[in-house]
Amino acid sequence: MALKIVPFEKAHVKEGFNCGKPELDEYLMKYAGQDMRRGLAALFVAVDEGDNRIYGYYTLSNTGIDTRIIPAALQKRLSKYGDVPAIRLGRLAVDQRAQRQGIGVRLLANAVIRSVSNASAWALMVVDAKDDRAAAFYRKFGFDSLEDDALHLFSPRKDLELLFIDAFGA
Amino acid sequence: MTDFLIVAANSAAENVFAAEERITLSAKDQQRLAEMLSRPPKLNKRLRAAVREELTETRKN
Repeated sequence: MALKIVPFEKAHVKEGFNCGKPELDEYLMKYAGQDMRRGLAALFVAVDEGDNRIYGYYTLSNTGIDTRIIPAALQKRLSKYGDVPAIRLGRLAVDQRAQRQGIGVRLLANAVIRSVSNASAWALMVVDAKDDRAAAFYRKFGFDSLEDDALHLFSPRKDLELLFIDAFGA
Repeated sequence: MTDFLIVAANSAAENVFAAEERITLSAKDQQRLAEMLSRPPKLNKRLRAAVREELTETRKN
C-alpha cells in the first residue's frame, strides 16, 4: 500500500472507513465534506495511490485562545489583543486495517509541516485528543497537556519550527 | 527552511485553514500557556524524525 497525504477530494473513497471510534468515522462520512464547504475545517486524507481509498485523515482549523480572564501582567506575556492565535488539529484517525503501520505518525508529521508552512500568524498548535491513549501519543511527540483538561494538548510554534531549522540548518 | 515550504505548500489555498470557535482556558492553564510561550524552544527528536520522513515522502509525490 503506497499512501500519500493530500487535501480531500470527491474522488477519494470514504466508504468502509472504520477507525474504531464511531464519532470519528461518522465525522468523515457525514460532516467532513460539509465542514470543508462551509470553511469550518480543512480535511487532509491518507489515500492509497492505487484505489484512492482513505486509510487515515486529519483536520486543521484556525482558532484563538481566549486569555482575557488572567491578570493583566500575565496577559501582556500572551497577547495584548485578548486572543492567542492557534492552529487546531481537531481530529486524527487511522482505519483499523492500517493501524500500527506508522500512519498516525505520518498524519501528525504532515499536519505539522502544513501548519508551519501556513502563511497566517499563529503561536500554538492545539490538539484535541479523543482519549488518554491518544493524549499519550501526542505527548511522545512533545505536546504538553493542560492541568484542567488533559485531552487538550499544546505545542508552541517555535518548537515546531525548530524541527525544520535543525533538519536543514537554516 | 525555504525548501520545505515549497514542498509542503502545494497551493496557497491548502494553507489557509478554516475558522473555528475560540478556546477558553482556566487561569491556571493560561498561566501554563504563558510559560510555554516564554521559554526557549525545545526540540523533540521523535517528531523531528517523523517530519524528516514525511518530507521525504512528500517529495516523492
